[in-house]
Amino acid sequence: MAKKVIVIDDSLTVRQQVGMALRQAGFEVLEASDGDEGVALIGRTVDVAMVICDVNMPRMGGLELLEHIKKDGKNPNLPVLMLTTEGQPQLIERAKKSGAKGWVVKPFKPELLVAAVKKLAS
Amino acid sequence: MDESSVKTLDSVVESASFALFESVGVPLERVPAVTRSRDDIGASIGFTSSVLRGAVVLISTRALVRQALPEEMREGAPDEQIADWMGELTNQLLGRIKNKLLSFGVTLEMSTPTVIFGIDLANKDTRARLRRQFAFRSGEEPLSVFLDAVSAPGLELTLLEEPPPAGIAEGDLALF
Repeated sequence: MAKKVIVIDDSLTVRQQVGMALRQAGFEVLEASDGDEGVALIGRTVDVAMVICDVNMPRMGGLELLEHIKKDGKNPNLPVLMLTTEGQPQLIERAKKSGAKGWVVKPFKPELLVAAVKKLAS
Repeated sequence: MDESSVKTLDSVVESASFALFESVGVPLERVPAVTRSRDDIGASIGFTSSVLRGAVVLISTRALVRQALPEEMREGAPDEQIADWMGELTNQLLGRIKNKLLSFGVTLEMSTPTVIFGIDLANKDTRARLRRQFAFRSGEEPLSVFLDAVSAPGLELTLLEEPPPAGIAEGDLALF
């Protein structure tokens, strides 16, 4: 059975780009357009292998979502990879401390992203 | 902001614009001015910090934004997709500007983008004390980039003596 990856980004095009790359690599991809939707989607999806999440989004941002996932205790070991335009070390450090497993600065290279997902979702 | 700092800021915005559009397959050339189109699309994203706040505004055409879409999405892309990508390009441009300004000790907080369609769009904000405009072209398609900002009195953009901790560059990935 294909592993499920949840992609959370407020850009439809980015979600489609990531989705295409991951589906071609054999993953099932589910999408949400902000942190609020992402929390709800994670909550109602069984067997999520990992989450790819933007940082700057309306309503709930990616770092808040990451902190929410780790604090609510339901999926504390769910791997989260941040995919963002931000390269600021303090934000990366905050994500690392909050339990993120990686950080990608857009524009992403599909082959690098797929390799990272294969590693983190295994 | 002194003249040297304005030149530095110009260089940051110009190089970020070149690099971003190169990365999406739309190489730009700088031109003295652009002719407005009847097929305009614009996007804006705000930023703030303790020393500089304002907005980055992009105005271009649907045709240029379509060219910048990932190849498999170009044909038949609806306006919603063009708008989405214009917003994302603006977001990525400000991201690049932000990442470059870290070396000057300026840390911007970014907002989320807003996109508009229109005929002969123009940016006429008169409130910004610092208003920089950059005209580009890719083939026949125009692109205007504006940086409208207010800076703290006496802000000087000089490289930090001790460089900030290395972040992650555009297109790179780090696993923890």
